[in-house]
Amino acid sequence: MTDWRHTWYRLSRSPLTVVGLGIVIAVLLVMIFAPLLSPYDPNRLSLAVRLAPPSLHHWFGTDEVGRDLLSRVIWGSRASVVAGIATVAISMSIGTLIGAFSGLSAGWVDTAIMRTMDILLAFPSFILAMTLAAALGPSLINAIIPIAIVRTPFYVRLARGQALTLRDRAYVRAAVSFGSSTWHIVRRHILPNSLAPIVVQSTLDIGLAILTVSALSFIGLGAQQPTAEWGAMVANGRAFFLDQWWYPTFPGLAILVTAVGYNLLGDGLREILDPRLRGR
Amino acid sequence: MSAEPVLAIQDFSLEFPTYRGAVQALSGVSVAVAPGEIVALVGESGSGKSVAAMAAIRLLPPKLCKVTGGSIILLGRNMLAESSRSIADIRGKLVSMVFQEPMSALNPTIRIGKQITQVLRRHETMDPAGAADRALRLLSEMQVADPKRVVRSYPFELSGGMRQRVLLAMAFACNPQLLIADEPTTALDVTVQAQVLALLRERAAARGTAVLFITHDLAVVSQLCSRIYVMYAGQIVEYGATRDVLHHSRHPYTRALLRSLPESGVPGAPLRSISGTVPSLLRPPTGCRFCSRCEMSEQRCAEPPPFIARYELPEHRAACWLAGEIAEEDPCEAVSPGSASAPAGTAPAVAESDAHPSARHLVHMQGVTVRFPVGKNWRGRPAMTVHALNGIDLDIRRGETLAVVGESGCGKSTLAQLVMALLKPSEGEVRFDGMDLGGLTAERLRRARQRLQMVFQDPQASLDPRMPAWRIIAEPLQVARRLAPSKLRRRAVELAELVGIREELIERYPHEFSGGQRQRLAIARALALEPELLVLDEPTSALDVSIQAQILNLLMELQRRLRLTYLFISHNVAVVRHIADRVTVMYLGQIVEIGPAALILEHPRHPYTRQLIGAVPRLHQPLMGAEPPLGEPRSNLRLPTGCFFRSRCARANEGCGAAQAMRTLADGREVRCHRAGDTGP
Repeated sequence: MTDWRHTWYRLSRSPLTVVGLGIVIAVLLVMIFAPLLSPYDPNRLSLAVRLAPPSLHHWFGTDEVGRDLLSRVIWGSRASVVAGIATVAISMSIGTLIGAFSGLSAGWVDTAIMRTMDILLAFPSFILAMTLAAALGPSLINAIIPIAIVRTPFYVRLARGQALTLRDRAYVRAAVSFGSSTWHIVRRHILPNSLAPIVVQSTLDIGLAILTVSALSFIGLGAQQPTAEWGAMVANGRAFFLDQWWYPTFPGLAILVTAVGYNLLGDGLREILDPRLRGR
Repeated sequence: MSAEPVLAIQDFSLEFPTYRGAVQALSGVSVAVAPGEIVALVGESGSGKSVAAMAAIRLLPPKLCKVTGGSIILLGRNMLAESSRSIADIRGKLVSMVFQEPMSALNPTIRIGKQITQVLRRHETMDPAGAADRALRLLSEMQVADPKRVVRSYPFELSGGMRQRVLLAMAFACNPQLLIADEPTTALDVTVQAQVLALLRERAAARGTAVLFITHDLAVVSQLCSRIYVMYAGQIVEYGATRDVLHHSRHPYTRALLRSLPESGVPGAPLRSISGTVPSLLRPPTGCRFCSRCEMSEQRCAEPPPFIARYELPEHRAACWLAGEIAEEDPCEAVSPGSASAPAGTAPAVAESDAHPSARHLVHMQGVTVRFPVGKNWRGRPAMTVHALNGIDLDIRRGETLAVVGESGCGKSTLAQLVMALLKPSEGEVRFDGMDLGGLTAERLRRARQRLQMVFQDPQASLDPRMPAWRIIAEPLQVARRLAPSKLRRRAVELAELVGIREELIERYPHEFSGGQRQRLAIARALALEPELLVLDEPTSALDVSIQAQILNLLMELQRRLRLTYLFISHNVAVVRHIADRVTVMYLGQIVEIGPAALILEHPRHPYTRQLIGAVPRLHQPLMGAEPPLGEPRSNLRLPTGCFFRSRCARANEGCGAAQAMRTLADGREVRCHRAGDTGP
């Protein structure tokens, strides 16, 4: 309990973190309550109001087939944010487990895992995504997988570093001395104690993943029409930018604000969870 | 005391704002240091001694603390009003500081010479050549052997004692008026500590530098300091001349602290510990802060006590209502060391009649050698070999406490790992209860390990911060016996009560316990599998004196109740004298002397043991001093020929060129020295 009070105390002294947290919560709420919040069906065409500027009826204006942009930005949060979170969830859970075992096992197992990760790190996510899209056809899922694969080594390195320091802690040595299995040590000691830096890294990563998914959608490798997705909307709106500025601007702003929100929160968490600053 | 003090802290109060409220770290602290005197600031951890010293030279981060009253005058300047620029000019020049950990106080990427000249050139106009010259002279003044080589070295190339000398050289570089030394010898071996303390005292006297010496070690204080301030819970509770405070203390806290030292007890008998814990400084009691733990507290103790002096000694004052009435006798006079007529010296009460060695000996080591390869050359072969243990023959008898003492690097910890079956010997065999630990199958080894458990030095590091206490205690049972959670919990409660932790506390997490309670939890965990042998690796060295007494009492009681055997690894001779039945002294991976604790520690025979014991500061005697100072310990990368101790031994003669064997003396001890039978100094 004191942990939460302490976190709250630290949070209250760092206004930017609160802003970040506010944005993240707001976006999540928008995502969850999209059906209630959106004034129109995001996919309903109404050719009468094509490319209408922002007005009281359409706050963000409409696109070239008369769909309400506000509704599409609201529904788009589902595709973009879910894709971002899913990417990070996959790479974090797989990467952390691999890293923890790698750090504990040492020797050639560790070397083999880390060299494999080095190879993965050298892969550009865009090229991997393009290959996958070419093989399996472009879709949001096929955009998530390559990003998740390419981000995994970062978590492996992080978790391995944690495991290497925790391995020499007296409580891990004690656990070894009464005959614990590696799995017991990973589950009971390594994972709980390396959570803080991993949470920070994944919060920062969600912002990045949202950007990358949007970028893949922007070049046509992610979400496909008519799914509302921010990157795809910016891509479609690009052609209209000079005359109908609102079309690409609002989805673009949505990406920007969300990414900034996660980054602010991540930076704030890094400071809050830093054990050296504990008790201050 | 008539001269203008170098440092005058007057009625100083400081608090740290936290999310739970303000921690009142210092409340009305007054300390005065006169020119040229060595003053001690002693107290247990959290008493505010370091905070007071750091505040005096404004080393505390200004954002994190708030001065709530009082003043600090350093050499006539009001330190609280100076700009941070002028403070930076003062630090290092007029006042300098030496820290506890010499490695982290030096920059690992800069050569020693450069680090010293940086200090010189920051405060004095000096050309590089002149500064380098001064650095050399400073180092030789600090008795650094071969200063020309040291100047070109990086910190990691020097030993701990050498680094601390370098720090002293830096501290004295600009001839400061005041030196603040924060536990400067706590991280060092006793032999090195004795040298560094002697150096500090001598150099301070020669240069007329005043020293504010912060420590928890009362024995060091009695060796070094002329006056002493005792702190408790953010306040000064007693001050005066060292002799008066230590031998005629008038504050119940000081008296209780002195009584809880192992030196003050009868070996083997329970020590008098201080009950209760230090009050929280978030809401400290309004009256005497020691009141709740004091045996003598009265009604008026609820009011803040004044400093009361004795008529004939106006400079010795204690903040206690009863200070005038407290009896005169020396609180730790109960047993003066050396005159111990205690049961010590007699062998432990074990089944001696059984002649079969494996029945008497729980652990039997024969010819054990451990070597570690280090580094790799270009062919991937080990470049060098660390000779950690060299031919150890050792028996641990059932039910006894065998202590291992020696300087760092002598192989104490390697020995512990061997006994714990965490390491295999390169040569020789380790038998536990008759089984050769090296020849067991994995399954039998796993089962044998359950009978061997370990208690680590730092209770903070040995408990997983993310587990509640009962899970920590029950973890071995969960791993080895796979009990159901409800059974685990029930057993955890029993174990917690065995070590004196109440049932309602076991849902808490380690950080909610005090240091002593944490060590109790670690002991409970070690007992979970009902082991026969406990390896205790410096179990009290991270604890305060009053807590140390509680833990030692607990360990001795558990040993009686559960018929445990202890292998007790320690560098604290007083603690070893108190708890051990037999002592083995190690040097460079060899046993040099082994025998009953009273014999070895009070009448050492091996030259190394003599120097080791002689270097231990004692409360009641000046440093033995008769033994010449030891040089640096030899590296264990290349073993010396003949007697390993020859190069540091003051009494070496031509017979020492031959390898030494253990000899049994008439009093029953064994010594690895061909001259041990000689009489003489």
